[in-house]
Amino acid sequence: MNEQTLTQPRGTVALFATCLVDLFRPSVGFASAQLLEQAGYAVDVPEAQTCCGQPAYNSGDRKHAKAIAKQVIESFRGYDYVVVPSGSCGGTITTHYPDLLRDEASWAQAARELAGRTWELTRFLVEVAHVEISGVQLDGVTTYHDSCAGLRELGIRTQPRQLLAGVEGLELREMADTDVCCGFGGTFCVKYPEISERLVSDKVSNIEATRADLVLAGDLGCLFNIAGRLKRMDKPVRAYHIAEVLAGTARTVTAIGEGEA
Amino acid sequence: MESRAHLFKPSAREALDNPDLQQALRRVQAGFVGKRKALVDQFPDFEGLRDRGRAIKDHTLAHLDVYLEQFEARVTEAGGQVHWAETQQEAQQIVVDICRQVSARMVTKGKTMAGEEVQLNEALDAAGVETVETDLGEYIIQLAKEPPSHIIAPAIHKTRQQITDLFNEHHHGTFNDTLREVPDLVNEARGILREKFLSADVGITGANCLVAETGSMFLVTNEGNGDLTHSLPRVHVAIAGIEKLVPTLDDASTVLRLLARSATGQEMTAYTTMVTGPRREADTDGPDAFHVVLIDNGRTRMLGGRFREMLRCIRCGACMNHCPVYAAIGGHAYGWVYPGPMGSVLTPMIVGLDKTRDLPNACTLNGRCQSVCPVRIPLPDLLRDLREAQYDENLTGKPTRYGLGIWAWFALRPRLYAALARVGVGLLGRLGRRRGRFRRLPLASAWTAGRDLPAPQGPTFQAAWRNRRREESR
Amino acid sequence: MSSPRERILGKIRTALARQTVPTAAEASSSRLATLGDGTPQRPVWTESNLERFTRCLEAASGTLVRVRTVGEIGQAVAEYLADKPAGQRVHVAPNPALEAVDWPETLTVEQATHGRDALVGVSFAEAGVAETGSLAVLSGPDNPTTLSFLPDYHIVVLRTADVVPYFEDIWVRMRERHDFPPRSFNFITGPSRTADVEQTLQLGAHGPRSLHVVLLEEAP
Ligand code: SF4
Repeated sequence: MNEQTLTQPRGTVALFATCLVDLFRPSVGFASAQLLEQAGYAVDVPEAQTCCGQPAYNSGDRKHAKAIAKQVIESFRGYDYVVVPSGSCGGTITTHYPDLLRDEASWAQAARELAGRTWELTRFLVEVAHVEISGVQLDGVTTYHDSCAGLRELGIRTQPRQLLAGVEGLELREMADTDVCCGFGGTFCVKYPEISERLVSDKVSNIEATRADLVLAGDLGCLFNIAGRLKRMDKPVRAYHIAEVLAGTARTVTAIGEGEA
Repeated sequence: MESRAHLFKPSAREALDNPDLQQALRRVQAGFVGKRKALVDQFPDFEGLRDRGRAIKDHTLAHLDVYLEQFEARVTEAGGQVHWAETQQEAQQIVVDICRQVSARMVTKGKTMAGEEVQLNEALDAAGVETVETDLGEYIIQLAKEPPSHIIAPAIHKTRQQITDLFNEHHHGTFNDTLREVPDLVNEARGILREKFLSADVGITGANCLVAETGSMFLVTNEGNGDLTHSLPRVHVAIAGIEKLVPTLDDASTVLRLLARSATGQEMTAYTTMVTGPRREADTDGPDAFHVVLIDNGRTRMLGGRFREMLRCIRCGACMNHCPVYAAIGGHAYGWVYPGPMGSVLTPMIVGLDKTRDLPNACTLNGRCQSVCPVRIPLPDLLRDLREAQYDENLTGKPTRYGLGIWAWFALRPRLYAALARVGVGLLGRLGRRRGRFRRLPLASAWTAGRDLPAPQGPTFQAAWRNRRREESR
Repeated sequence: MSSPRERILGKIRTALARQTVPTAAEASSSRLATLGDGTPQRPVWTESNLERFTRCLEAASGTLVRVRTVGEIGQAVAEYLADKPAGQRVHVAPNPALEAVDWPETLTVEQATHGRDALVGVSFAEAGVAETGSLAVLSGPDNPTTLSFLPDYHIVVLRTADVVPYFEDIWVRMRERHDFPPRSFNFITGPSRTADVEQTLQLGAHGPRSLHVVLLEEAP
């Protein structure tokens, strides 16, 4: 345990890991928790979390989306902050829950209240915790993919870059069209696989053009899509969630889609 | 044109495999996106301008009846005539009748998306009136017998070689396929169309904006074809959706500032014209008669609910210029007059939800369209609302419905979900740990067709977290 | 049976849940309440209006020459045409502002009632807009519309005093005139152009291949 958590914590944070992190990549959850604890917060992972409901919401299934939203609202009551290592799920909670529940006054109120204390991870670290990354080293060149929801629903652009600037040895090289979708789009990528493949291929070309060793992003959905395409095309570029780099765990954890060998 | 939106998937696939189209599409992004951005960046308060644009349109829509009547009164005072068309058939009939009254043999047409929408050319053809599209892009696709693939640049999908071939075939009856230069092609079309302009009986244009204050319509072109179309024939017919209205000339100025920048990345198009009525008594040129055909065609249906916001649309095309899906498949795959994000909202509203099932879904909801829309139409939200309407009307595919149902059932039972996740993830993790990914996986073929699927690291985060906490507290 | 007009208005009123229909005055005061009467967002510049006008006009591929008196216009036109394959015939709008032009012998000048057989057209602009470098050319017996679109060479005379900053300024001036709006009010910003073939810009699509402004410094 580090010093800060031994003294009075700055507040309680409930970590909403997101379904993809929970199922596929716990290292992102641990990295996020570590960053939050280092910043002096007491971190909890409420047990009743499954998913933010986005698949239902974006498929027009309002009934199930509402039910899941209510479940999330219930299980995240009482914490000072809710932090999500995903712009997409963060955006669902902060911008879409209030809209989704607009017809039920008390739930709408609760949704707005939750939205008010819910933060995407990098934005929280910069704007609330005022964290400055130090003592983390990673040699190489990276490029950064702005996830669409994070960028446009939550205004996340400078925050991850500011944090990455604190990582020693790491050079950030921007790719062309950072603001263009990678083609993931939730269920889109399996409903329209050919179109999705074209989009992610363009993204991979832009990544390759930077000659970076790494591609980072703040959303596991985009990262799976990008890494999956990189691997399929046998490209050497490695993909990590930004939390894994900031927490220094990227050196010990294999990149997304890479094996132990 | 008839909607082919139900063929979205096969058309999209074809488009992805069409190298000419792909080459042409790359130019859309390169051209429009950069030029727009440069102008927006140098504008002092473009966000404020967008707010104003939205406010003007919202206000107009909330007083649409008042302003339409005011517009009609002013047009009449200026000696023009206003016609109202509730449906496509009515719109066609009105225009055909006008042409018949003056025994028109040939009609020149400026680009009108409303005209495309109500299939004006088909109706005029059937009535034995020759129609000639005069916007160069529209002219090219008229020769090719194709619908427009972009609302601003209708022939953007055509390469120079294809245009060369079309011109050689139609103008010279030859199939000499030596590639011709752009000035040469433009000049040839100019010569041929100049004859048409001078001999047309009726000129039909769209309208970019109608002004209630003066009963005027604005027409925006770069080629000047719109002005030749409305100034030379004996009769000028303008056709426009009822949502094109704005209250005052000042409001029109705001809309035009937004339109030119958003559409072509210009501060002002070469020709921005305000037409009010037919020629005046003493005028020595201009048409003897002026008609405006106001089109409903489903718009009043949108006015009452959530989709009213779509009626703010000023048809600038910025949403499609910034849409990665449009950039991948082009406009034709959308199957009707309006492609891209705005089309994916409008087409289902006008043509019907059941005939356009793919349109609201073929979108990643990335929001880039909304971020550039000059009147701040929340296109992704409207697409999601359409998905909801599909779901409610049982138009969502069965596999999606069942899949969602089962998934949601578990997602709403966290303990069961966690237990199941532990088992599933454990299994997949063991299978995929060594390689770290799957090339192929049952039930995930749509994903693995084009990319590998990263394997789970091991136990779920929830399980691992609780384990670690237990150890720590020991 | 009701007319389409009534049906459409009826549907609009239902959609808007109208109890009573607002009057035009009510609509207009609600417009003011929503939009305010402040200035809209628009470009700003530090150079003079005339400099901005010139810069924007040139950016739109227009050309410009300045003359001091009406008399000099003829010479300026002749000089402009000297190196162009435009011939000697010039079709001039029968505009009172151009009556005092002193046309050189070398040019054959015809008063135009339309632009049908004009290769060179000379019109008069009521105003110029600094914001975009646009000319406001108004149709009327003294300014046939087709003269602005059919010639290959379009020459427009504009008084420096008539250059206003913004579009809104034009409307303020125009609303005072009894003959406003004319049938066709043309804002012209550079020559005709198209990018419909492979997004390549080409001047002279259907309208004039070139646009030349003769800027007149003399007050009327
Ligand atoms: S939806 Fe917006 S961006 Fe798209 S065409 Fe309409 S006004 Fe332009």
